[in-house]
Amino acid sequence: MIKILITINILITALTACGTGFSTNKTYIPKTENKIINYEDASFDIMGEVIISSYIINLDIEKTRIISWTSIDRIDSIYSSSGIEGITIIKAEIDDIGKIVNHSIVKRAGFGLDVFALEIMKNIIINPARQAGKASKTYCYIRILFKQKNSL
Amino acid sequence: MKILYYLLTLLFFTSNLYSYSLSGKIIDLENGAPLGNITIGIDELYYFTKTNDMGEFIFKNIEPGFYVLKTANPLYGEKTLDIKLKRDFYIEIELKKVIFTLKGIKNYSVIKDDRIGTYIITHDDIKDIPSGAGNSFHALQTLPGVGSSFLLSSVPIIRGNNPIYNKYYIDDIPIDYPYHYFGSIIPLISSVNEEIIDKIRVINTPYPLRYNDSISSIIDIKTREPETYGVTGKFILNPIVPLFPAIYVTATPTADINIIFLGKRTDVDLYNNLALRESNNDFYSQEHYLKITYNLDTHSRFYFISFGSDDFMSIKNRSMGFNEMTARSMYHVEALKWEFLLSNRLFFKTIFSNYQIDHKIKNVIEKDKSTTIIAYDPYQYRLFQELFYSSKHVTINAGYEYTTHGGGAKGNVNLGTIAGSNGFSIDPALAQTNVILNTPIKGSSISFFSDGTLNFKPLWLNIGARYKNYGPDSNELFSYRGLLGFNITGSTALYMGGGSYYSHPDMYYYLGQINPDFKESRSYNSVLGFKAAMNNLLSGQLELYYTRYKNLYSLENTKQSDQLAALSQISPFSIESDGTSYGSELYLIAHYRMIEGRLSYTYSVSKRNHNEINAKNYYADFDQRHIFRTIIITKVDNWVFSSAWYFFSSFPYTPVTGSASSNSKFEPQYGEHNSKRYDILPRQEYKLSYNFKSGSRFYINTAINPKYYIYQKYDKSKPYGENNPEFKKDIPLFLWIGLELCF
Repeated sequence: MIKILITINILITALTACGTGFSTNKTYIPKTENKIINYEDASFDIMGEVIISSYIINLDIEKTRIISWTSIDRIDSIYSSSGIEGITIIKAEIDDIGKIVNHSIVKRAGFGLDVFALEIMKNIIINPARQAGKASKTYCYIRILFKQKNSL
Repeated sequence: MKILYYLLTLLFFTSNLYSYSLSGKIIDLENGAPLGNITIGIDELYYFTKTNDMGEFIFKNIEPGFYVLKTANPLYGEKTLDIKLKRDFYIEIELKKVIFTLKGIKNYSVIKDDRIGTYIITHDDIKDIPSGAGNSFHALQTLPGVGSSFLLSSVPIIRGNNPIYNKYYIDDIPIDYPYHYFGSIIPLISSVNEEIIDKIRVINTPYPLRYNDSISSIIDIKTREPETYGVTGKFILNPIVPLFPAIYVTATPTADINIIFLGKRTDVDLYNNLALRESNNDFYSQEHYLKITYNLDTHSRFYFISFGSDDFMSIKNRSMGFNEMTARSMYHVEALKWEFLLSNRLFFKTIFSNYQIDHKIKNVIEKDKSTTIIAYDPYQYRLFQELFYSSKHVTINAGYEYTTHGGGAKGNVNLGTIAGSNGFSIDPALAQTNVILNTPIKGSSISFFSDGTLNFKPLWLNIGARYKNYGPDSNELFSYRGLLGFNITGSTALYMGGGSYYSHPDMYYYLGQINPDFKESRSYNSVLGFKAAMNNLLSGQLELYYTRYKNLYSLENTKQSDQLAALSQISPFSIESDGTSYGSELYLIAHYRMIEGRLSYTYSVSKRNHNEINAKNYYADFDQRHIFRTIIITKVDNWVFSSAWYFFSSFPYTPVTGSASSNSKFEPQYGEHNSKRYDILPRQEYKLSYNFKSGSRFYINTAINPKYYIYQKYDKSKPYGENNPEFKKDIPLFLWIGLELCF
């Protein structure tokens, strides 16, 4: 009986000593060289049950990116002949479906180009930042450049 | 056996005694609020959890040791912390909201060309194309019609003309020669750093009349503006050994204020001074650029611009009678600029600038303190105002330019005296000459100009005129131009036109002339061109040109020296009074996936006449008959590889055909002027760059230049023979490594 108790005791001790993941009720990812899974999948599903990986897993965030935007019609008149160029930078708040819910201009291009920039921004669709496969509210800078191009 | 079981049990319990908990709280840095739903993990153990609504987390039974804690959340980004665990550990982590930067959206406005056929080099081109020894203008040599002297030469030689007739504009401010100089005479590299350049346009005649004072080409440099919010910058080690390092900073403190600064200075001289080493030689070089812009409102902007460079060298030469020679070259510009968008049809621009030059070569003999000096220190204040009007069919820009001139040239030698067939020499004996160089450049000049485009598709017409009253010689001048175009399709055009332009004598002329006549040079130009953009893959242009020149600068003391032309590039010693240039330029640009190819071929003939040597119809000093280049730029991920293959004709030279003994010297006897050439020159240049995500960059630049003769050197102590003159070769191989570190 004593042998059995001692054996159980040892097993419990061993499990609690090594398997802290279970004791803290958090994900435990065993180290194995046999199976290698996609690095990014691992980071996106970090809160899943168990992920097998031979890599050290980073907590990567899938960053925001512009999916599409609509150019405004040709900016002609004085802009085409005076060589006016500029850069507008807008700080935008994006909700978890990629919609811009708030914005402010942090760098103005001047010469009325910022009005065009805001017009462009209305039609921008943005993929929000994601982690563990879930989209989240984020902030980003959107840079809109106005450049001159030769007619041919 | 029992004892063994008890020992094992004790061992495992003991091991548990050395396990600790790691707990903590994550809060917002700005307001201290607890942050829930933040992922946190211990890297080495693969343990991960999320914070609760109170921002708290806990890991239990962690063995002592060193660990890396990582946090991640889309709103707060990623953070890494190194911790040492040796007891129960509690940590409070502060996180700051992050703002991701999205790749820029580019909008292109189709510019109404005021000179169709203008060549453009962009900031990216300068970065990607092999660039010589950190020389931002080297990439211009990839354009059609642009030739060059030796391998590391910096000055673009356009359409076979002496570069003395080109004019540079930086941010709409005219500059003579923005270079760093050796000995105040030989330009080494551009003094406009590549980091501040947005694009360079090479505008050949007939150029728009808003530009001025060139009978050849305009090199128009536009500088950058900050492309990111906040403060960014980089250290530029070019070369990687920090001999001439630069710092570049951009700042956007508010939405309406932008600042760009670049400072560059040699540091070897500073180390030498710090080490308190005595040296016979002293030198330094610096360049700076500062642009501060402020948007007064949504439609107008104010600029403060300051740029320039200094080069100084001092050489104590004991072999020449304990003399000390100093050479200084400097130009500084300060400008205020105001641009105002009056409406969507009117735009108004005002520039007030001050431009100062100081070039000086001085030689002092220790023995009797006699001094040889040649100096040029003019300054000018310039007011420039221009109004643009644009409608559907008509575009007009008109304005005026008022300049006051002061300073001038002075000294007791002139360039003609110090120059010889083997370069320059400030011989102490020259101090005994009785030459008096005293040429004040004083007076006020005023110009009125207008350019216009009439656009009635498919026909369009550029016309322009400039009236100028040039103060220093009270002369009235009239320049004009016209360019008629026909759009065959929406992306194909045929054009032809011409014009007449003036150029006033510049620095080298004043330094060389004892009795200058101030008379301006004049050119009559005509072009016929075809430009087409077939599709996104291929575009190209072909331009034929013919130009006639009158009253070209030629110094009083003319010199037969191809060495002076090859090395100084901007040569005041060309023997020419009038002549013609004609040729054709073909330029093709192709894109295919990550590869860009450029091909250019130039056929050019520049012939000159000169009354003094009674020579006619000879090749100009800078004539390069054939210039062929192919450039390939390949971009793969963060790597950029570019190669440039050049084949071009060398400059002509006047052969030494004999010698005549005189006062124990053997003076050379020359053959027909500019009647010989060296072989066609092949050159290969390569550049490999790696661009880090942070914006830092590392690159290797190399050039191979086999069997390339650039000038002949005649030794007067020996008679003409097989080894006299000696033909000097350019360097055969060149390797340059640069590094840019962002902060």
